[in-house]
Amino acid sequence: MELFLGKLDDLINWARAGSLWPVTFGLACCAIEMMAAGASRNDLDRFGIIFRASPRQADCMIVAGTLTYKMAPILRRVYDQMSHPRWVVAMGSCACSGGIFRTYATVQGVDEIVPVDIYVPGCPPRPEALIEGLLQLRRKIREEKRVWGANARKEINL
Amino acid sequence: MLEKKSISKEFTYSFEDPFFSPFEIQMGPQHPSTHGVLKLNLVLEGEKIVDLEPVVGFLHRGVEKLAENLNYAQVLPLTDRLDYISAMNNNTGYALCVERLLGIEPPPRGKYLRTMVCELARIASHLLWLATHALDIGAMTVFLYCFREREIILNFFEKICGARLTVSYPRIGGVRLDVEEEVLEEIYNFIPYMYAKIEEYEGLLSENRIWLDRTIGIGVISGEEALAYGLTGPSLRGSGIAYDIRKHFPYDAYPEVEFEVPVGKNGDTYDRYWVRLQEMRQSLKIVKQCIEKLPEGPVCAELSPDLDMPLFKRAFKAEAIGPVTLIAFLNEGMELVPKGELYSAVEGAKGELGFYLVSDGTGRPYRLHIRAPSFIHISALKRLACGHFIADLIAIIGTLDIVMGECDR
Repeated sequence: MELFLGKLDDLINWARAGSLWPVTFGLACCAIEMMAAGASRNDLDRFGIIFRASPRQADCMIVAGTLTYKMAPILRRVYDQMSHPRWVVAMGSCACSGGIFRTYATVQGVDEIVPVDIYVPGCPPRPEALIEGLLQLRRKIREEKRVWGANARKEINL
Repeated sequence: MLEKKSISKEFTYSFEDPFFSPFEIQMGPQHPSTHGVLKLNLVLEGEKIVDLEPVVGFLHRGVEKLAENLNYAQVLPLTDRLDYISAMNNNTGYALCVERLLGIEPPPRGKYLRTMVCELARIASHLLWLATHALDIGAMTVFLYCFREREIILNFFEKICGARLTVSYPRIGGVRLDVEEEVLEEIYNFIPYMYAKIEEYEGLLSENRIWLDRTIGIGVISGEEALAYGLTGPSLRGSGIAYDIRKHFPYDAYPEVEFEVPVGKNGDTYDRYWVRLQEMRQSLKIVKQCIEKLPEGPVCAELSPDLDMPLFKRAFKAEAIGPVTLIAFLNEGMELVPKGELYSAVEGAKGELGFYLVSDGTGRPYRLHIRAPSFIHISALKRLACGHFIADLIAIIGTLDIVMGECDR
C-alpha cells in the first residue's frame, strides 16, 4: 500500500511540477523582469510555465513587487481565490522583506499576508534568478508527500 | 433631478430614465491590462462607458517622504523605482535638479554619456510600451519581437553599469564610470540593426486592419484640450503640439545634437503610436551623434558627492580638495547646499518628469516633490474613455503609457 501511494505521489507531483501555471501578480518593477522571463529570450514556456491571468486556474502566485497596505487585502483575496494546492513565490526584495521601502505605506514582506514557499531576492532579480526560483519550487513540489485528495488543503492559518 | 451629462456630446443619460440601467463594475487593481495596479470604477450602459473614476494609490510607497530622511546622493536609487521602465531618465532628472541647486556643471563627456543612455532608455521604454499595448489589443507577436530588442538594450546597460533595470548610472555631477570602447562600438553597430527592426514593427502593425480598427478614432483629444489636461510627452505630441523639454529647455548634450520632434495630427491612439515609433528613430539618431561626438576627459565633476567611493579614498580626496569637502557635505556640518527652491524638468519617456526640490541648507532635502507624467495622464482617462466601448478602454490605457510606480510614488 505504501509503495502504491508513493508511486501515486510521484505521478501527481510529476504532473504538477510539469505544468506550473502562475497567476501574474505584477505590482512594481519586478513585474517587468517577470515579463522579460516570460518573453523571447528567457522563454518560460519551455518549463511548462504559462502565465495565467485568472487565479482560478492557477497553481502558484508570483508576487512581483512592493506590496502596500492598500493592496494587501486584494493580494489575500486573489490568494484565497486560487484552488488547492497552491504555492507562492515572493519575487524581489520588496516582496521578501520590504526592501528599501521602510515606510508607513509598505508591507514588510508578503509573508505577513500569505504563506510563502520560495523567496527570490534581488532588486529586481534577473529573469534567470526567477527561473532558478521556479525550478526550486518544482523541486519542492516533487518532494511533497500525500498532498492530494483531502490533504490538498495544506493551509497555514495566519 | 439626478441628471448627468457625459463629456462626449451625443451621449447623455439620466438616472431617472426607466430604460437606463447603469451597470457598475470595478476594473482592477489586479488586472493584466491596467499596467500595474490601477483601479477603475466604471459605470456602463451595455458596453458603453458612461462614467469612469480612476482610483490610484495602490503602489504608494512613500518615496517623497523617504527622500526627506536621506542625503542628496542617497535619494538617487529611489528615483530608479519611480518609472522603472526608463530609470536612466529619472536618475538624470534628479541629478540635474541637484546639480542646478548646488551649481555643479558636469564635464562634457559625462553630459554626452548621460544623453546617450537616456536615449537608449527611451527606446527601451517605448519598446516595452509597444509590446504591452500590442499585447493588450491582441498582437502577441509584437510582444515577443519587442522584448527581443529590449533585451539587447538591457545588455548594454549591464555592460555599462552592471544593472539591467534599476541602474543608478547617472550621478550628481556626471555619470558613475566611463564606458569602454568596445561597448560603444557595440552600441554603434546596434543602431542600423534597430532601424531595421522598427521597420519590422511598422510592417506588422501600421497597415494591419485589426490594428487600424482598434486605434484610429479611439481616445481622440484635441491639442488645446490636451494642454488643458496637462498632458505632456508623446501623448501631447500626438495631438499636434510640438512641446518637448529637450528642445524648449535643453539640458545635458541635447543642444549640441540634431533631432526632430515628431508631431501627430488627429490626437487619436494611432497618432500617438506613430509618434512613439518616430521618436524611437530620433533617439537612435541622437545616440549615433553622441557616440560620434563623444569628447575625451573625465566623466564626473570634481566636487560631486559620490557615495560609492571607498572610505580611505574619500578621505584622500577630502585632504586634496580642502576643508570644504565631500565629507562636510555628507555630514551636514557645513552649509554647502544653498537654501531655496527649484523646479527642474526633463523629458522622460512618458512626458515631462519634474523634480521640485526645497532645500533648507542642510545635507538633506527638506521636501522633494515629483511631477510624474503618469499621474497627470490618468486624470485625462475619463475624458478619453467616455462614450467608447469597454474594449477600447484597454487601448486607451495602453496609449497613455501609464506606469503606476511613478504615478503613486
